[in-house]
Amino acid sequence: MSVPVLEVCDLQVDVPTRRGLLHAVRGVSFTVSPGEALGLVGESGCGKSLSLRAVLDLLPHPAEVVGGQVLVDGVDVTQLDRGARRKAISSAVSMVFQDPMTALNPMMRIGQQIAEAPQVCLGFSRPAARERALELMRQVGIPDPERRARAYPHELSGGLRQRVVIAIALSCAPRLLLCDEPTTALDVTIQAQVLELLRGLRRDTDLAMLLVTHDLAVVSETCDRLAVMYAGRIVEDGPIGQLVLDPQHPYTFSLLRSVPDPELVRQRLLTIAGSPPDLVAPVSGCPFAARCPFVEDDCTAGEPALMDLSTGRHSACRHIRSAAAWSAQVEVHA
Amino acid sequence: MTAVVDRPALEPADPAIVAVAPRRKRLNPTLIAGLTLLGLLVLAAVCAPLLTSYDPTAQDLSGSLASPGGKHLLGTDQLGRDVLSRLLYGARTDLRVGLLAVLFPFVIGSTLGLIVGFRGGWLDTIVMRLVDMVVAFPFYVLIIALVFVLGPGTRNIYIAITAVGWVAYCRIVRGEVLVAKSQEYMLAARAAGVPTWRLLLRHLLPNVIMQAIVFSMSDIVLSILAIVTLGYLGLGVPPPSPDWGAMIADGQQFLLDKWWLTTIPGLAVVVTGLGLSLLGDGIVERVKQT
Repeated sequence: MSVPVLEVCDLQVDVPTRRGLLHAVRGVSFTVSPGEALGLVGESGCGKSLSLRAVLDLLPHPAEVVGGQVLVDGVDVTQLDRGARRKAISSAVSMVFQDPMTALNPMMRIGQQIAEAPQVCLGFSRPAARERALELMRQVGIPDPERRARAYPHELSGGLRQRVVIAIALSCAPRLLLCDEPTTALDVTIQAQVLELLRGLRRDTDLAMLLVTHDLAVVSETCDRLAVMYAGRIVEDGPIGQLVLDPQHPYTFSLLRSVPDPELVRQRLLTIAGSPPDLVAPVSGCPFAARCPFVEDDCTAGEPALMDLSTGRHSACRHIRSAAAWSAQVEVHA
Repeated sequence: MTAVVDRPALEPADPAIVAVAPRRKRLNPTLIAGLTLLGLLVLAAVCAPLLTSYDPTAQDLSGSLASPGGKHLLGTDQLGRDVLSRLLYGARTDLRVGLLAVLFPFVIGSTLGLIVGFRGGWLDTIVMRLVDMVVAFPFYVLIIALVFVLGPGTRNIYIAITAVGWVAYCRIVRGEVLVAKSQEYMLAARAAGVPTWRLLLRHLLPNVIMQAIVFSMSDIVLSILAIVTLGYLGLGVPPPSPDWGAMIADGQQFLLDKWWLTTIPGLAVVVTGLGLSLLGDGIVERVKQT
């Protein structure tokens, strides 16, 4: 087994608020091997974006990493000083941002923006960087790159802009691409094109990918493995096919059942009642207990840890049952 | 990385995907009017020796207070100096001082605003409290007090206006920086390892400076007015060098029968202000088009 491109161990992020410390990320661990695509899903505020930002050392003020390690190519970057950390991260990891409207500098030409990182970070000469930018634009499927390179972001459509954002992310030849909801701001047809582009990149290069999203369809089309986050923790992870067919955590089950499926028109669409726990207060018991349709008496006693299941799967539920059993129970309640 | 990606087909015929907005933005009438007006003023100031044969400081007491027309196109003042040449040479002084008196606060204020807005923390707090202190004083009171202490003269006018004027630029640019610095393109640049100085100059500055430039146009008007006011109060450009403010002050006592002595330099101030305001508005319109 080769060294993982990214290994996150017990990552903890706190955000000071007026009401006290908000424990937004509470011990998240995952690894991404070369060429692998990991999906990170969860509802808003579960800590997925903060985890991503923490990996890049770009946490928004005043959030900060208070514990855990981030290993890039086996090197713990949290132990490095600021300059060395930035260098270690940016040489291996880059990010595709969510909104192509704000992820591009409105006052810089497209070509310059793509050429900047190779020029500044890899020491390319000006003409070499420009050549590299054109090559990247061709690679991400931007037609007529010579002309587009001179355009400003507002002159391009949303889909082209997202391609430019991806080209910028690829410009320093990263081995891991962090994608923060890369398709959320796009309409469905463009979404499909961008996903196809990301899949193509993975097929043709050894690029690893960490995809953060709340869209299960996007993940299942793109990723090999899936980690489900809830209340600042990973509650279940495993290979995507198994996880979708046979979820081993009631939260994953509820998430999957809350997505309309055209093939299961007769099945009740499930909603997850209530809202996630307040992470300023200490969490006692399973954080999902209050919203869990299958809650049992011992669920409120101590927060369950992520437990090893068969074949590389993990779950943080004490009462794992088969999806069929869960389904049956939901139908009875309904 | 050189592998060819199986890219999703893009229909080149689809205008929604391929359309690129027209590149050239047309000049708007406001901008043209402002540029023309100011251009004429600057041209008149530069070509002053060609437009008049009189020395603006040469006195001719026997021919004082002559009416417009005849030998002197706009007449003479109480010391017999030609009003037209004083007006033209005065434009040189006032436009130059007005421009420079905005340049210094613009550069200092914008730089400071950029840095403290980006860095935040205690530096930001200190500078902004300082800004509040300066703003708490009325503009003219502070400038007149400063020039009074430093003594009249062009250099001291620059110093006084700079000491008071930087706060506006600092505030404007800082506010814009606070908005712009959390934009994703800033994060993207930081994530790519772009050094801080480059982040400030290449990414932040072009996105925050427009408001300050627009404000500087109206600020030039303000600083020309300040110079004229100082000249009127006898704290401006020292005599005998021509200056519109001093002309207005000198002509004031003859306002009833020799009205042109005050009205003509007054009109010059108004026209300059109009030109700069139009230019400022024109720039706003042009920026809005993007």
